[in-house]
Amino acid sequence: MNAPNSSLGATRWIGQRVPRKEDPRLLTGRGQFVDDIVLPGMLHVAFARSPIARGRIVSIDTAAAREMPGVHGVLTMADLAARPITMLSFFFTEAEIPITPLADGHVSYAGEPVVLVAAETRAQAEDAASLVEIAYEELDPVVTIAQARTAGPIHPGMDSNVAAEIGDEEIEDELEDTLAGSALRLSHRIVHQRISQSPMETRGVLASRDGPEELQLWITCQSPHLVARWVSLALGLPDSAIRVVAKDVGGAFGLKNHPWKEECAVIVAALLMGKPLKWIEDRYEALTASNQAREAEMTLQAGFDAEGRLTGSHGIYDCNNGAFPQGADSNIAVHMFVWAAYKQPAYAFVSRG
Amino acid sequence: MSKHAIDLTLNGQRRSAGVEARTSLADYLRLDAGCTGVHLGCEHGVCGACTVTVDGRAVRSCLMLAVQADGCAVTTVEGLAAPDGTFHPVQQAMREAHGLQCGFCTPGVLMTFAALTGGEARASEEELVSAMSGHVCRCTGYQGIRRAARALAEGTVGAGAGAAE
Ligand code: FES
Ligand code: FES
Repeated sequence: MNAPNSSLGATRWIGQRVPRKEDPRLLTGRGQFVDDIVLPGMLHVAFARSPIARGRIVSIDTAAAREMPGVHGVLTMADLAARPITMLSFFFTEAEIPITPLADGHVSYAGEPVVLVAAETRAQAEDAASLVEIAYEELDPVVTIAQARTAGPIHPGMDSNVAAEIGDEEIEDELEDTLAGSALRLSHRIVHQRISQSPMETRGVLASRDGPEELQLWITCQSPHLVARWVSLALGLPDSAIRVVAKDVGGAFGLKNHPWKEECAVIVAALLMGKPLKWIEDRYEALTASNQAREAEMTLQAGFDAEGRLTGSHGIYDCNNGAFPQGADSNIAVHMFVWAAYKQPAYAFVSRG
Repeated sequence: MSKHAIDLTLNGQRRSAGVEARTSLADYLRLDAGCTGVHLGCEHGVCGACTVTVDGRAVRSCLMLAVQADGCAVTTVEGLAAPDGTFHPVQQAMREAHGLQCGFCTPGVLMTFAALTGGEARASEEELVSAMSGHVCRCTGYQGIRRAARALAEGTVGAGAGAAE
């Protein structure tokens, strides 16, 4: 028998223990994570954030922060508005509600960034951010799925707290007859806790405007190309105007698909200020203000015949996506997975998020 | 902010610096000394990513002030491999056992294992595994790190192969 030619084709790899090419640099401290990159003249960003879950912003006083040593900029949403950005969903669609990098007039979650401070060191930026005075008129928070059903809309001008809905809560006659006629009809409610992705490397970005149509980003992310496309659409710049570098990434778990409020605020501020700006989220910010995932409730009904074969099913799925969903319509995907491994003659559902 | 002069030995080299009283050893190592292998996962002493050795003992550099390192010998992950690039046994063990994925927690794990297995120290597998309670790794599920701990305790780390290429 001929020995397999191990230098050719897949036989080189299958069943082999393959040493990873990135290990030597990661084991010797030579990895390049966002916070490891330093640019000349770079400033550091810290945010003044909302301590409350919901309220109207009555006033913002940045005078004391501006006086602090090392501070180069203290920006509110009114300042950032000079360079419009359209924040998009994961599917590159526009949201029905305005999503702004910094809070605009009202806050809708605890930790929402309200004021951006850029200073020569992170410590100086934090010192100054702590001196920003923001007065709020507090409103009742809407935290749970149950509260969202009954509370008035948290976003002014909307008629409910449902950002996306598909399907019908009412079971149509035909399916109802099938379920009612089944030998066994079960109904079960499943509650899934919220997930905080908590990568070891928190979110972070370094943004540098290198020319009128030349933006360079070092960003911890899951796909540099997706980020480049997202940012080009959000800013209305050609693809070729944006370069994204993400050499090493300390975990993402779905959190780092594309930039969100803080990263967008840093990008816009870097464009306006013409200085490289770096923001590295600290763990306190990460656990307070990073997006979270999949707090969900599902009521699933299923019918079975006398032999235990499925006859039909109906699902009611509600997902708490927070005040600013990155992909409100992603809830639909759940129904593709529910019965994926089974032969299911009839299925209907409603999905709300 | 008041500045304080410190002298220390960092990865075998003598260094002098002026640091603010509030500057953590981690910030000094990353921002002043350029040791970006020191990673900050929490800055609260919980995750272990920032671990370095100070006079041979594993220390969370986010919880120690730079001024407290005056006169000390500090080793970071950058100082583990031999000058010719040959891995330290803890690096070799982690590589062979696939004990890392993203590599963000890894420098801290390496420094803890190095403190417990270097020189006279001969930690058992149980001691190494129990020291891992001071480290959070979100990627690996810890099994590769456990295998590295066993290889270190049993002295079965491959000899010299796979040095930093
Ligand atoms: S950064 Fe020091 S223990 Fe987490
Ligand atoms: S390897 Fe990613 S956190 Fe440990």
